[in-house]
Amino acid sequence: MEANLSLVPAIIDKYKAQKKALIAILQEIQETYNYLPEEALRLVSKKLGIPLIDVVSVATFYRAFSLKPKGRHQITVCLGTACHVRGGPKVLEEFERKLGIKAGETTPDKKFTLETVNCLGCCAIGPVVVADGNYHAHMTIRKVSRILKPLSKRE
Amino acid sequence: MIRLIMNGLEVQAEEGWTLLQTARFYGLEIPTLCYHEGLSVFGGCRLCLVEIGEGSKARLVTSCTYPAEEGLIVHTDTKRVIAARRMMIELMLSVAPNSKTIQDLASKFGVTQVRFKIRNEECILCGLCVRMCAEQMDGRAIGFQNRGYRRKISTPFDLRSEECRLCGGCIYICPACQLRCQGPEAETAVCNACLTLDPTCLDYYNELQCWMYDAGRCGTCVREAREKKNTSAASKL
Amino acid sequence: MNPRKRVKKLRRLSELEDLINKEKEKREKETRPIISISSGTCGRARGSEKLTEAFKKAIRQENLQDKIILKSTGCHGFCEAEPNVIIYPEGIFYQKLAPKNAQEIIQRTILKGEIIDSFLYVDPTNGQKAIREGEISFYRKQRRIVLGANPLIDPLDIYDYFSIGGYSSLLKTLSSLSPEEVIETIKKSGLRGRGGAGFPTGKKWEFARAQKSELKYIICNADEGDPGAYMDRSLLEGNPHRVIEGMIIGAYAIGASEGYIYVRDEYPLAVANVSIALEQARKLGLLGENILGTGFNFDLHIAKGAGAFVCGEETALIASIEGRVGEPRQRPPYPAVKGLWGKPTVINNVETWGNVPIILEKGADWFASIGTNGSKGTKIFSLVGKINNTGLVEVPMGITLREIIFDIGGGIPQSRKFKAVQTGGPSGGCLPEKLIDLPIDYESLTQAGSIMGSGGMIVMDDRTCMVDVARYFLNFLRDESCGKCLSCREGTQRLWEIVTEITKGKGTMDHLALLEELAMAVKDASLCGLGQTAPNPVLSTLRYFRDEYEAHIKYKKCPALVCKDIISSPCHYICPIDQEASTYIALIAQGRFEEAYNVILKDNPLPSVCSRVCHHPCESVCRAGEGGEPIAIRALKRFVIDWAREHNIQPNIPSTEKSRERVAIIGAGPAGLTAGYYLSLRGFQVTIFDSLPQPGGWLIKGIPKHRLPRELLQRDIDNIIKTGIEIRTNATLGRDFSLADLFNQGFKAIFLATGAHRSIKLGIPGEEAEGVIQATELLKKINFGEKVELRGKIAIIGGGNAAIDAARVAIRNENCQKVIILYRRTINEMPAFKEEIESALEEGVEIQFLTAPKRIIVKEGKVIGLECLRMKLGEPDSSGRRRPIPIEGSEFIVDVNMVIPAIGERPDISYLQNVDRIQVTKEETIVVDRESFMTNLPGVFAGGDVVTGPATVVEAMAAGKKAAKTIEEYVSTGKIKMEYKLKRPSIWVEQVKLSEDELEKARRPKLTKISMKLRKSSFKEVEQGLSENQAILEAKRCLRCDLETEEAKMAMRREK
Repeated sequence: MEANLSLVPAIIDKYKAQKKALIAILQEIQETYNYLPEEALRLVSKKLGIPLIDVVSVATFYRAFSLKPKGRHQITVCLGTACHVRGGPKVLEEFERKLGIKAGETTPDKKFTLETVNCLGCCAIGPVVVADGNYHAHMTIRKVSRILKPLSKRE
Repeated sequence: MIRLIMNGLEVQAEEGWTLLQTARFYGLEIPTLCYHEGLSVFGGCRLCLVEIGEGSKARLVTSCTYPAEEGLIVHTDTKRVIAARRMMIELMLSVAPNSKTIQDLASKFGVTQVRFKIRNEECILCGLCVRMCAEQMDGRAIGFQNRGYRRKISTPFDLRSEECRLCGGCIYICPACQLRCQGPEAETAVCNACLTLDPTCLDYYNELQCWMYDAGRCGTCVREAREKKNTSAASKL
Repeated sequence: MNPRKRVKKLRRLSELEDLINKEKEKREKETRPIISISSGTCGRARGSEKLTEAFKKAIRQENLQDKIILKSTGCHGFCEAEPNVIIYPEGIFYQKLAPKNAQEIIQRTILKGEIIDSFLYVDPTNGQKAIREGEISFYRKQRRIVLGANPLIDPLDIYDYFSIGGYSSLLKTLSSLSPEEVIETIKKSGLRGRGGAGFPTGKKWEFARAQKSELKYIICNADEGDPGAYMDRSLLEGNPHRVIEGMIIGAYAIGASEGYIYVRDEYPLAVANVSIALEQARKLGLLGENILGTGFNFDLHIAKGAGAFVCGEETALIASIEGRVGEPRQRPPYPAVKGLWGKPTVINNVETWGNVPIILEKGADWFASIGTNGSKGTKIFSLVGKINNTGLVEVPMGITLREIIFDIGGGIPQSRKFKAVQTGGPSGGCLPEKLIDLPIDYESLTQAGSIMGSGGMIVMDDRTCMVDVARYFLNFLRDESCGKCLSCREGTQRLWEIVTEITKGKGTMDHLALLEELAMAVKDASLCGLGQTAPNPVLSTLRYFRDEYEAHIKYKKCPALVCKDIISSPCHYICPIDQEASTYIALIAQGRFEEAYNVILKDNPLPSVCSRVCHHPCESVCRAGEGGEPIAIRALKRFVIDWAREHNIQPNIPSTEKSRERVAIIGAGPAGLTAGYYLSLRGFQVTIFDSLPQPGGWLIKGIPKHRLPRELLQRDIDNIIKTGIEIRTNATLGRDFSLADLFNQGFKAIFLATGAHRSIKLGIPGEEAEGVIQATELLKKINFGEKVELRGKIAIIGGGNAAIDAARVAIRNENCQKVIILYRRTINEMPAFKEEIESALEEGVEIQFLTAPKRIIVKEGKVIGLECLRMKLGEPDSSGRRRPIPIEGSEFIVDVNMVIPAIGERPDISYLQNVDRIQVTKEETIVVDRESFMTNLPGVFAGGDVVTGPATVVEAMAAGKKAAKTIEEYVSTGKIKMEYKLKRPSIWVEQVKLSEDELEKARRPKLTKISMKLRKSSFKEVEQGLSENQAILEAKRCLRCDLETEEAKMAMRREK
């Protein structure tokens, strides 16, 4: 599936195609498309005059970027130290079990992407899970299905 | 001229020299892997470490990147340096056990065991190929991707690169895959056998049978000798 | 800030001064109440936005729109209390609010001035309520010079910042100080970088100032990647202008014209608030060209991180702003000399910048008066993990860990034991309990093997495995390493691999040596701070918790019950006799009851006994019990035993040839019977000697019949005898025969299992009177059907199981009027089984807590009363429980006819009087080697209560079971070699799952009890068993932790 790249030139122009704005440009493309399409990276390489391999280096170095399209629903489990000590890994395992994928992967039907993050700064209410931007506090194994149920029903 | 003290010896370095260049000028041996005179410095393999400073402030730095400083005190072979160097070699062996270059280093510096699980990746991420492609060949077809334990060298998107002109420079310069060890203990992680090959290939051939010169023949002599005598010709250290 | 307000750019210093004064005056004159709602990221996660909406609605309803000021502020710091509000001017603190509370607050507190009790903070240690912020124990020891402004201002309104004197320091700086004077002030204050390294800030600025360059930069490092640290986020969200002001002052001092605030992209609210703040500052002319007419140019931009922990490192951060991968580079040259785009750059942490305006305002000397010699000022810590009062804590340097964790933090939840605190994030280390009085400053933390870091403080309790913690950090680091240096990239990966092997029970002692060697190499050989400090978590846990590593390696144990591949199912893991609870539960769920019975019998020669009286340590560690109800394991075991009995299933007792040596066992209690059973099965000729007329030990002598019906006990004992054991009753060691006699008779080994049946005397006057019977004596008489005088009011002294047993036995006696138990501590410290205490209270037993006997009042040789003292709890004693202290002058008299001391039991080892060299303790227990159970006399072993003092049935059985093994080895080979294996189920059973709905509704079944009439008038068994349906449903509720190990997953895959 080819992504519609019509929005990319505008983003590049916004930053005046400056080399130093590479990361900011990639961040905007990521936000717009929910991932970094290959063609977009080629375009960025051309317009900014940065070798493609260097653009790919940056795109794969930072966790904020994804070269693969993400699912419609994003589940992020916090694995910061405080959440870890309070049982975060068990919550992650339950999600992995229920969705049938491992952290960092997307379900084959492209519905869910499961990710981990190394600290959201909400340690008081850990373990924390963010589902589609909504924060869920004091997670337990039982609450996992309560989060997934309504999202599964939605498209 | 910059004056500094290396291994107790007062030495003088030109402006812009690194500690490695200074040491080499004076004949002091420091092992390197990712350093190459024709390419920019990288400082990733951590083999060329030296100890600078004294007492509690002493620390290890890569000599290939550290600039010569006025009054700096440098030691190239302290206990700390050797211990670190050995561990680096052991780590390298654990991912590229078939590399003759690394096996040779192991023999030279007394690394006799690999206590980590062997991974057989044939790549120590020294970046020589990347720099060769970019700087000498002006290709920029390959580069580093990802970070941490997932780091790798590849073309963009792991696809056939348009920039690659099949010059073979990357293979030429690679220390891991270029000289593949074919000695008698090739399957084990560390063998050190090639240092004490007896008989050597020169006992059978009129010229050196190395990988670089004649692909596929390295170790031939030993194999043939063994097949002839039906006894192990090489001794393990 | 009101967007419609026309903002006039300030062009002169005097204009700023006037504006600040005007806003300050407005605030001082403000009479309307202000409701300040804590609305940082975690406040919002708890619903503070909904709360704000509810307040707005309530205010509209009461038509109070202009009469109340509602402020959505940044984080107030006390995260545990969120969502919380503070009502000014009184400073009333309301916590844990729901949107529906808003109306009540408006109506009662705002309009009527009433304090609403239910919203107040309650101190968990003394139950006291606090009204104002300053009264709350969390805040009392803090000194919030940086974060204190958060509750006072709306972060999105620069005018609010002016109103608390904001930008006065900038004004002062630009009006009256030269850049050098500013640097001098910062130097004199002693401010050190708050990001982690603690480099003297003034010095750094001085270096940068000295560089000759047209262009200079300053950067605010808000990457805050340490998991568990979020103080920078709180400051940026709640008071961005404070940081901006600090940076403008810094830029002026250094001579920089451009600056960046590098915020990690995981902080969207911080980015948003800072952006708005920058806009406002620019509009007012505090940023830009010719600031306030002084000719000073400076502008500030936001740069967003993209998810890389390593970008918290200076040179990597610079690379990231330049649009490159975040790979650190070598220093020298330092950024102060050659930084962003090769120009001199000063990088400081958010908290460092946040301190600058206060130092300029109150002076360097004031700042230096706070803290210690080497570490001045305050530090903000994020106190998280296993702690009651989670939150952001700002304290003066030099405060101790104890004060932070216990006084401010309120201690560990569920009264668990403090184990360690991790400081400094992945670059730091774990500090153990013995360092709890360590004063916190840069030097002391480094010396202890950790670092200050950015201030994350993660508290851990006894259920945190330190090996797992090391593994967690290594996993983090191997992912976050930039990957350039072989030592860091490959080193962290290999360290992780080794520690992972250890957590799986596959570690060796060589691994520990390798860990240390590799750790030192990684530390030495790496280029940047990440690699150089990566080994710290491993090194510090090895330093302070080496025994925990060794437990994983040598004994295949994880004391914190965390490492899944070692634990498998916690119930099986913790059972002293290795009962595979998870396996027989799995079989019950499948209806395979006979197989379940065999699984129980395999490890338990006293199954009927255990099904009634075992104290079920398995249930206390059951995972279903975390945030729910543990599986009723003992009840399930009982179901199987009863079912087998009803269906006449006989245990398959192999009768082996007794061709091996003779072994003597002294004591036919649980320890002796179990040892005898296993030795007999292995072919030894076993003779058990017991001084009582019937075998059973404490099971027949002490435990009452209403808990353990005697037919069941006899059944188990008969099955044990069937293996070919000889039991000789009425045979007392020391009186009828000696140890030497036994050896002379040809016994090759002796196992002493005589228990602890001698009651400890109270030691108070009157104990010799008639009417005083020791609890053990009373129980023995009742259990053996002997005549015993019980009459009138009976006082039982003590809080253990013997006391409860005695009480429940006494209350069944028709001559008994009243039974009171007097215990010197509270119910929380009472050692008796909770279920037994509950049953006793149901049966009418009275318990008086915090009461101790002083003297027995005797008249004509008989007991007529008991003089008692009230007690209060003081500091904990060696047992960890709070010591009871008598309250002077609180004596009072209780009318009683009998006194039953039950304050504890001791073994009676008078039979060892003539055995000189045997080692015993002053508590009169026998000393044995912990693993082999051998005493210091060769061939003489001991186990059970005679070694441990009064303990439990299953622990005594475990001693017998293990001793049987070591006795066998000793007799056969003369040597004892201990082998430790991972506990795994003997068979893999498929799980029978409950549906989602069933799981929601399923509850732990309550066992029914016989009627109170029957209970009080007989010794009939009180508790009844589960029905088949109940048992199967409960068995299905089991989470099957045994299927979580790697082995289990592989086995289940194969079977599919």
